[in-house]
Amino acid sequence: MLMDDYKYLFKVVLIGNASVGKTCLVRRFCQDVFPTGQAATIGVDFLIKTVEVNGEKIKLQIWDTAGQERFRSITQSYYRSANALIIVFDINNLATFSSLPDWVREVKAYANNDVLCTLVGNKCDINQREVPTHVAEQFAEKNDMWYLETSAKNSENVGKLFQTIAEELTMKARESTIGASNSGHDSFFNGDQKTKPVKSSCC
Amino acid sequence: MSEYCNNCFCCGCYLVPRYKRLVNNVFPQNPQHGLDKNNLEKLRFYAVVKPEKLDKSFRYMSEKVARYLRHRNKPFVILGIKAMNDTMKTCYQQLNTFVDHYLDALRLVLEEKNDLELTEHAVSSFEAFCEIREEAPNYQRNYEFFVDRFTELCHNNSDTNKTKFRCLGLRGHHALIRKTANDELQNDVWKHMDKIVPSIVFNMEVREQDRQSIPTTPTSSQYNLGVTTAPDQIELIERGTALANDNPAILAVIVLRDLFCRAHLNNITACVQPILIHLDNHDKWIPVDFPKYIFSEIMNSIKHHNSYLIIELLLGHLEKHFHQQDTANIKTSIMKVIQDCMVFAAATTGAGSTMFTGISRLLKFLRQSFQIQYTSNANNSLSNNQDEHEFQTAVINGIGDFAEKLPDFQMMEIMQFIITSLATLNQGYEETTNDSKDATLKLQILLLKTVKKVASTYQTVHRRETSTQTTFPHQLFDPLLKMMNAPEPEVRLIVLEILQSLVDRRQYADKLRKIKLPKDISQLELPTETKANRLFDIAFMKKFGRQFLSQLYACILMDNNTNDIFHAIYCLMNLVTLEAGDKDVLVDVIHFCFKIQCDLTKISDSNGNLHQSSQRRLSNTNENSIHALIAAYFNLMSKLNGISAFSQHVNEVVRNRERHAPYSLPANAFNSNTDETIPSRIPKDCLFSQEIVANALDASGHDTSKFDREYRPEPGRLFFKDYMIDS
Repeated sequence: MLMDDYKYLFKVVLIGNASVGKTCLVRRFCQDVFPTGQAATIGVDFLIKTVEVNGEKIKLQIWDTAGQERFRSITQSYYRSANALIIVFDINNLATFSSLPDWVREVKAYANNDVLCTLVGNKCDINQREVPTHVAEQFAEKNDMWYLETSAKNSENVGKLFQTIAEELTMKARESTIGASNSGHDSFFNGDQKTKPVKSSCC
Repeated sequence: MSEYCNNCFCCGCYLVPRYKRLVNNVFPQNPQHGLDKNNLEKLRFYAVVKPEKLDKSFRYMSEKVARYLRHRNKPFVILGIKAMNDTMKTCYQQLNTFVDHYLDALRLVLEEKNDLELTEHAVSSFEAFCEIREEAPNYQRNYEFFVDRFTELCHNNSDTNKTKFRCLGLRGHHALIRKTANDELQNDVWKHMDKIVPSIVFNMEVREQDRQSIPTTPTSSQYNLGVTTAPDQIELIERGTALANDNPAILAVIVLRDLFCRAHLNNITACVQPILIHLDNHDKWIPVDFPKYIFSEIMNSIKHHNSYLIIELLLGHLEKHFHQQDTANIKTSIMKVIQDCMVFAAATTGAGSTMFTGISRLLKFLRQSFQIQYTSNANNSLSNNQDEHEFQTAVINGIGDFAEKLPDFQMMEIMQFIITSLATLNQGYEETTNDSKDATLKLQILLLKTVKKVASTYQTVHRRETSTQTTFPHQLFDPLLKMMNAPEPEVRLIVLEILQSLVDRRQYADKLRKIKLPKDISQLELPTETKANRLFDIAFMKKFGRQFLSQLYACILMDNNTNDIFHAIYCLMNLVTLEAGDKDVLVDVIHFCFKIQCDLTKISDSNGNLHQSSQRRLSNTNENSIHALIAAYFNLMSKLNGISAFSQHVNEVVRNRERHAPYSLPANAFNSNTDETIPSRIPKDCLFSQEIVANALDASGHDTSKFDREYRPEPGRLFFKDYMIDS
């Protein structure tokens, strides 16, 4: 019996300006709630969610960072070991979109080169759009990201977002373990993978 | 035996391996009963006897914990952690065989968010694990998740258990620091400092806020770095574990101190940088109390020989703020922190001379600050001006306080250093405008004030004869003497005062501050026998006599001298003769006075003759002041040395002056109300006669052969500005 029955463990970090809805996205995905009047995150928050990809259990360790400028240095330290980054902005707030280049620069400076980066336009349930979809898509394409519009409130695309990330990461992990099986990429693996399960027997 | 069945129901024989049976038996049926002590003992014994089975039994145990966790069977999870803890402590020698299982189980427990009880047990267990010293290296082990999770806990913001969670996070960090900080066999903790340090500092803030809300705020003196460890801090460490568990602020301080106790030279940067960034990001430089508090804790706990590095990092940070053209407020705050750190370093570590580069950086900042001030002056921004001024004061105080605490030989070095750097500071700055010339002058005066501050403490603190005061090094005195005839009266005055402090070995200066004509000198309480009884003394006048007198000559005849300068010159003249205690020196100075008197009469003669414009002009007031000064000096010297003929002559001249030229006596000459209509010539009988004085000196056994030659000041006098360009 395995100690923990997941196949891969991935670290996902959410970043973006303050009050674009990072915490709500995560809470919607992990706990399926939409907390109204969510206070600003302090430093960093942490949640675990297990998803299934091709019948295998994938564990997502989600780190929800504070958007406030004053916590920037501590959030940056979380980029380094992330497998996937989700950059969130508010499609009804042009300012949050305008600061995306800064975020991309930060990601390039602090994160791994092979990190999976996703751009998310949140709050698509509100009808006061300031950022047209094609502009955001263009930006994402230019920076080699994948773009998705979500709403934490009516849970639109939230599941899809994390599911796709899990799938992509699993694929990547498989490739890397096939391509370079001995180069020590076992950070993806659950440590108990290699040990043979001991069957308990009874008559 | 919980829900597990160890043996077959039909035959009763064991179906489960022994190690599993033992592990199963540890868990009681009712979790409230706690772990079965007997069975735990059995498991322990088994582990000791058959260490090769340890791996399996531990894996089984951690699997059980994971399963209980999935089934939300919290009491059993806690029991499982306890059992693991117990076994681990017993079998710590085989730690490497089972540690991965243990950490995996712990990680799973920690993944449970928002469960205070579980987190508490996990952290306690982790602390116990961290107490184990390992002998075998383990580079594979990865604590990253723990660091991440503890950091998250430190920033916890839950409504009910905020402080408890934060304390747990700090405890976790602390345990990890204790385990891996100084262990080269471990995956080192230093690369995680960008998470750990901000978590600590973040929690320290809480305490500061609390403190402000409490009316009995400790005064800033408590943050004084000079004190190594305040008594209440020691007490605090002792009570630490009990008190700190529910106050993150106290716990955070303890962790911070411990961290810096363990930090090696090459790790310090990694620890300090996050603090600086944190203070920047959270705008915590102002008010300065908080950063001062942090750095006082650091300086108190860091290894003393490393403390200069902290200062260097702070200086670097200050430089960064200069580049960002920040407001002077922040710079002043940083400077104040640096000041505290420097004072601490100077007093305890003997890091004095390693700090000289730091001092020169500070002087550069000072120069830059003046530049900023004068460019902003042009734009009429007054507030900025005020801020820069505060910054400059902070720098000067910083250097001064630092120098005060240095051992004396380094004090001398620092004075030399400042004096010599005066020259190089202005390189690269074009002095085209009046403003920037003004700035340069102000800077000079500020730096000289610093030196003066150092010199005066030098005098009061180090009363014992020290190498400096007996050797009078050229590096310091040459530039100082040259500055005696700087064109600016402010500079001259400070230089004279510095010289007073340095030459005055027996604390006479206070008695000689004012130019007076006392009939009875005994009230001054100057000893009649002033001869130095130490053979190794090198008198100042022996080494610098000629140089000094020729500079003094130039100085005394400056046309912009103030009364203060005359008083200072008088004091200094007396000091050098008294300190020397040498007849030749006395004769030299008297000779010098006659030369001055002679020149003065020449000048006043030529005042009527406009053609002799090459001669230096002096105002009447200044001339009279100099006459009065000479009279006072002669009076004191003749009486002190008991040369009666000389003394009679002085009395006679003073009487004559009282009758015919009262304006050339100290009582009137230094009275600001003297009118300008006083005659420019002094009657002949009101002047001192060189002949009479020479005879009197001769009679009392002084060598007056020098009087036959005319006194000549040394050629090639350098003005201050020339000196600056030369060097």
